[in-house]
Amino acid sequence: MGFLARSRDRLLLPRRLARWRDAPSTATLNDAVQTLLRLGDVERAWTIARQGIAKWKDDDFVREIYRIAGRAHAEHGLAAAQAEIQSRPTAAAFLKIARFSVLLRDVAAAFAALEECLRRFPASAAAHAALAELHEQRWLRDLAAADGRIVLAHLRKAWRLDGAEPTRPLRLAAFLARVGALRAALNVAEEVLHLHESQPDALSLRDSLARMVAAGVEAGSTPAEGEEDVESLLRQIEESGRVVGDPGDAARVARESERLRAFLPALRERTGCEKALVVEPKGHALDERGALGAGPLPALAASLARSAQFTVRRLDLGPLQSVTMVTTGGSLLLQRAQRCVVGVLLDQPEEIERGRTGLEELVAGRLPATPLVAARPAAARGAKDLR
Amino acid sequence: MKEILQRLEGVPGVLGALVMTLDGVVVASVPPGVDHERSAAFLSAVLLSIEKSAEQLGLVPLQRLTLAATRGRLLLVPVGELALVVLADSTSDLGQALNEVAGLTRRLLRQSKIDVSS
Repeated sequence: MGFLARSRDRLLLPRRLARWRDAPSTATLNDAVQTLLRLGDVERAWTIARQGIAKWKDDDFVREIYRIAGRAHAEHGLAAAQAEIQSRPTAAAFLKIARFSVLLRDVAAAFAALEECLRRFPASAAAHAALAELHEQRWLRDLAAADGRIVLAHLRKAWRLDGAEPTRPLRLAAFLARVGALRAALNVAEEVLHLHESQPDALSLRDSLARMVAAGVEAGSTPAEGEEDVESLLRQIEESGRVVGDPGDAARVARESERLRAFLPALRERTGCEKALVVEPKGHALDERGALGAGPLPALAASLARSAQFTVRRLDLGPLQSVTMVTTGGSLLLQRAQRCVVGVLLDQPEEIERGRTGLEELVAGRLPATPLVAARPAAARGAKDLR
Repeated sequence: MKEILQRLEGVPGVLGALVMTLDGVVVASVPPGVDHERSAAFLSAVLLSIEKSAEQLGLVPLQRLTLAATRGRLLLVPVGELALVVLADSTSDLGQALNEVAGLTRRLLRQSKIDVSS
């Protein structure tokens, strides 16, 4: 930015901040945030953007301002944390790098920062807890037993290293409950209550787990004595590809499917394909206008995704990432995105590279989203499970 | 046929290879001691599951099917009545392997024709 523009911004800033304070609107919010960002006052811009999103959380324009300010805040924070590590490396600085990297969607950098943190500060309970959180996100996406084991190991280690902090064992209990080890989860919650008698979260978790265990014992799904075999439960989840009995699962899938469908118009534009779709874990296919119903493309995409996922899991190749089916009549590309699969049908072989790049950009959230238009009713979900 | 497959073994990133019939019977495989029957059976099930819808969409004949997972990749190339399958790690560039596969496919095709006629 030139000297004149900067001087103009400096002159206008007090007036723009006053206008935002006295007459808050999306326009005054935009003026204030953009001016602050141009002047490099990132943290103040971030504070105002947060005030804006609190007022108009459904406004797309405000959400875009919030996203821009959030990105600037994360980049600024990341640079500051990196400088801190250069001068005085601490576990807290590594944790900041991990947090800002996650905000910038660079999960690999977050993993690397936390692993480096544990190499230098092996007794950092916070780093173990943060690594558990990242692995839990990955476990929720892939349902790989290996990730589940790592989550448990890090949460147990964080608990051992800092027994005074009750949130980590409570997260351990919640994770155990999520994989179906209710009795093991109950034992953890009770152990927390030995140390923190009146901890409200522990009390409420203990009570609800006790009710679930009692119901499970009555139904025969929970052992009457002894803890469940967590390893076997994790393997069952990996093989079936879903967390049985997880009440939040359907909502999570619906949210993810909706998010992915909003990118389909941009994907079509990017790849030049006419047909693009999202397949949910139960085989239900949708595009940005709603459910696709029965047809050869939804059927092919769903069967291919289901059988490919089953094959790679059984061959111990880990969770499926993508499928490329090339034929003389065209190509079908599938890309795994959390629990769903996004697919494009391409006519020409030379479009494959562009199609794959487009799918990868979609999954990374780098394509522009288009608000969904409900032109077709959401049909009943398909009966067959993808995995 | 085994000699043909052994050429693939030296390619960086390739962990194994096999030739199978489209209904999942292993004809030849490298390296020995690996459970290739499992891979063949699952890949045959994949082909069977997509056969009808692919035909309806005009997506025939199959030229190549690649499954990429976090710890490895599977590449299947139909060769007449058979299929060549390559199992590779998830990180290496498979450009060289694909070149080898193209050459091997032609040789396998010639060999399978000889086998059928003899």
